[in-house]
Amino acid sequence: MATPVSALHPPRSEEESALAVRYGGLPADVERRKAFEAFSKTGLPHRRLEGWRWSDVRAALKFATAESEDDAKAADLFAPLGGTVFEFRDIGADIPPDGAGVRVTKSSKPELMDWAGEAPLAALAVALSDAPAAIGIEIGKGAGTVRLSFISGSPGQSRHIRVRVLEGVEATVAETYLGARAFTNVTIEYMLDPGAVLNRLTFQSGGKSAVQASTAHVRLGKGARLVQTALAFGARLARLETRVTHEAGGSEAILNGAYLVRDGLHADLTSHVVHEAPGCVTRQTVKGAARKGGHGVFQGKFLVERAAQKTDAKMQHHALLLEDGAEVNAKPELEIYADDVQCAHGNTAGAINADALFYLRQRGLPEHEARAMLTESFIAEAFAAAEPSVADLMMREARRWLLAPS
Amino acid sequence: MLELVNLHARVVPEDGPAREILKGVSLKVPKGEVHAVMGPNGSGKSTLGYVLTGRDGYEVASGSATFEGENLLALPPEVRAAKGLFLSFQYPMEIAGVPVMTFVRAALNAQHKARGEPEISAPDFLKASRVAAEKLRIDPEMLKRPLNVGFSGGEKKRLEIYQMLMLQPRFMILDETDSGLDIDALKVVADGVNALRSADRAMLIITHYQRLLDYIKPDRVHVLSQGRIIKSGGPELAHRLEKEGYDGVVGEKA
Repeated sequence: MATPVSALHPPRSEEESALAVRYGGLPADVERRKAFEAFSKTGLPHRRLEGWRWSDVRAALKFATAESEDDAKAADLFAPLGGTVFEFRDIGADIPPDGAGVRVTKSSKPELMDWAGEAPLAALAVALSDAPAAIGIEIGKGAGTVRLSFISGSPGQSRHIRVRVLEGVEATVAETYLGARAFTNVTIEYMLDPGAVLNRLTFQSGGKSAVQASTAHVRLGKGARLVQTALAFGARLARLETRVTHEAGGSEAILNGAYLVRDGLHADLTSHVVHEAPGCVTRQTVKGAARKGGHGVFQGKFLVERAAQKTDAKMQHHALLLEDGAEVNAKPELEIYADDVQCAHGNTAGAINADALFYLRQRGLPEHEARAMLTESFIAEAFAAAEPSVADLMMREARRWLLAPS
Repeated sequence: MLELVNLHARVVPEDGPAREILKGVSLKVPKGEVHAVMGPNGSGKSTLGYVLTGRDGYEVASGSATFEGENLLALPPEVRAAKGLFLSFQYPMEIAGVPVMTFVRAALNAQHKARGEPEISAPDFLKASRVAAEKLRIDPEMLKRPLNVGFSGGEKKRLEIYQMLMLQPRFMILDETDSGLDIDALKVVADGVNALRSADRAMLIITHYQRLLDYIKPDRVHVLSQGRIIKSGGPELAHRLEKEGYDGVVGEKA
């Protein structure tokens, strides 16, 4: 028996009530109930909640049903990569059968992850994910790119996906989040077996009435390697959260990304990396640029536990404020309990270098092209760890954004 | 071709008060001529280059600057560039992530577009680039690297002249192009500059030392001191400055 909704924490907003109604309409299940309870402890994250100060989901969702002028024309950036495609829509999903190197399982039973208590939206996605409640993807040798596309219009969608990369296999998973409006909420658990490599690519582009949240948890087995590259254009609110755990030693995580936000759009790149085991490496380079009325958020945390000696972790976030009225908030955080480690972070926000701008214009480039070129040059490092053809796709998309009229 | 009349200009730093640097500069550079502006540090030489090319933070208080009869001062830098003004920077900027060739091609096409000319074709561009690089003894590999990033001072100067050869400007301002160059590099750079001398182009060479003028022979030499041109003469004036120093020549007037 599911706990009656009325026994849970009372909803704090109309949007929360709607979510409770949706939960009430789903098949009763113990795990689902636990997930909804985990979510209900905090409810929709808001500005007074640790980790959500600059990304108020509760407030943003009030706009998520509005018609949006900029009905998403954005195309799936990763379409040229081909591969096995999972397409998730508001209602229904195209889930491919097993293919070369890819095994797919659909589960009708929700399964809550043990870290749900720290991630209310991730818990909510599990509670509301249905038909199927969860999807498992196992990637072995010979698999091409696995693409996960989330395309929302109305009423939105909740998904729970678990991806396992088998021992010694190198996999590429490309996630795309598109949609003009509605609430898209996705939880993805990645499990990397020993020696596995995951190239994780993320592209997010939403409209002014869309709230798009993706919470990924990546567990790195012994000697595993994660190479992550994200490009986010924001939405009414877009939150791309990555939680990484170095579990067994000798693993490496590269967590790169760029956000480009214009008027009315918000992109939040949040990450939480836990070094549990010794001798692991984390490298993070996040670059952002905001135009007038755009809002970028970076939150990065490295937690190095006592046992994680010889940790080598570096975090960098640099933002460009392209115009007056642009806003960027950043919170880099290191929490270190081991004594033999190398950890560092750098964080800056500034404007385009006036000397460089004049240099380019003196050679004949019109001001907006010169600015685009300098911003591109600033952003480029965020894509450098991706495979060159992928980096090129992302760079071209960024360039298009930079040259578009505001 | 270029005419300055009683030009007063000040530098307006982002913080701090404006300072008047040019205090009534008058200068005429006819087509086909090379003029040198020499002067001690702080005399306003670089400011002159920036004012002519339209850098932000340099304000003209009074006077005029015309290029082929057209008022320059109202035009943004890129329009002046398209009209043929080129400034070889004393300290060229490093632009990470943008290869030299990509940049120069974008600049060239932007200028063509502004002048209503067709885009340059890829083969024509590559051919011109090869010729310019050979002339300046630039390793073609260098042109694939990000603009000026990690280049030595001399390499940067060479690359300025490479850009000049590629863009084919009509009026060139060389700001301390000789600094950072050894004697062999100086000759190579001067050869590149001299290749652009023609009856329908003109040049202004801003320099502290006479050395560069041994290789790029000026038609006229002007001495700038405290924001004014206090003396003009033929090439022999540069040699006098070298021998007697600025104090000697400047003192003469007083």
